[in-house]
Amino acid sequence: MAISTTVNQVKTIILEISELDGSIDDMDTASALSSLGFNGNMCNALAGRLNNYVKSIKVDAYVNNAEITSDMTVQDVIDLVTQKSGV
Amino acid sequence: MKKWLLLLAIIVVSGQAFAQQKVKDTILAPFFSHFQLRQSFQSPDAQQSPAQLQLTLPQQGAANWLVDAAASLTIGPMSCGPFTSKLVGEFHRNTLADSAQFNYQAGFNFSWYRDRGDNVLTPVWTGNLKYIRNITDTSNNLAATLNFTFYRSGKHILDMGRPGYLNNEHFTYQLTPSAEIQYQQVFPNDEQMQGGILRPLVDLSASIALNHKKTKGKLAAPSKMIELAVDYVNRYAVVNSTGNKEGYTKLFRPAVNYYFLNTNSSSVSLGASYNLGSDPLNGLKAQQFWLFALQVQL
Repeated sequence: MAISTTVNQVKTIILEISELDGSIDDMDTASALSSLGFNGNMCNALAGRLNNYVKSIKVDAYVNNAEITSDMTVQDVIDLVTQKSGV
Repeated sequence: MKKWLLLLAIIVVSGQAFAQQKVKDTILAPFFSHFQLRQSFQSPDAQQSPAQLQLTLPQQGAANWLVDAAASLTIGPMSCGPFTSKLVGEFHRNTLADSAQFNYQAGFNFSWYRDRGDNVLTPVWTGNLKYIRNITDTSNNLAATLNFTFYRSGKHILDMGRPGYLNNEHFTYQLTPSAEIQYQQVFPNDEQMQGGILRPLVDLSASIALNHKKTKGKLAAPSKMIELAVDYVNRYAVVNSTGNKEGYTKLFRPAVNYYFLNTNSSSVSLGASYNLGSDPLNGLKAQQFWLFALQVQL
């Protein structure tokens, strides 16, 4: 799977959970999740959906809720997913 | 002395987090992964709960200082899948309300959340096991709490446990109703008063904020300007063997918050609130007072 596909997929998941009006093209990878309105529950929801995504690529991969926090940047999340999924 | 050490620890760790933002850059990294500063960790992370600092203007007596804050560190090795565990320390001191509050706490906090997707109610469990020192009535306490709430997300539905947006993001709202059960074992100096208290409670928390005008460019949540918030807690001590005659208690707290600093990962606001009622576990005795405070949430 191409890295750009993973980047776009992660950004799309973040955008869907944020419920903000905009597109993934407007999403700065240096933005912290908290600046996109994420609180603790939203980080947990993001971890759950990223978990489903990485499992679809690599069956034994997983993302814990504790690994996603609101001070992470979008790039941190992308890095975590690429590392977990081995993309 | 212990209380000052706890306060000092909260301030030092807060300062470190302000400066470095991420625990992964510190010597704590192998054990802890995330730092947070709030008013309390008894309720779920979702609830609006900034740490409060500064000034009180009680009905009687002179103004004095206030610290109503809690800090947590996520314990990486003890967190797995939907389960997250934290070490928490809390410090609640309000020196010149009509009845002073002076209480500090330390213990273990956990949360459990398994995502169920959009448009459905997802249960969120938050629990605490902690030691509480209440200075005003010179008691030591052991407490266990279990809080239950729902998270719901999805565009064009009523969100719960998270910020939702109205009118093209001109307004931000948040609804966080929850139910909780508390068990408090009290060890006061007076052995006659020793015993346990079991309290079920309901907590209704809601807020709506007028946001700054949205700027074009990179994607960001609208930044709040002014916010109206209300929190109502209703409890009943169904079991009370302490002899302190605690039965039905409540805490009603409407507030107005003015946000003057919104950074990438924190917000600072000035808050004015009216407080009516009590919070026995946190050492707040039944009373009413106005509170003006500087509020910080990381």
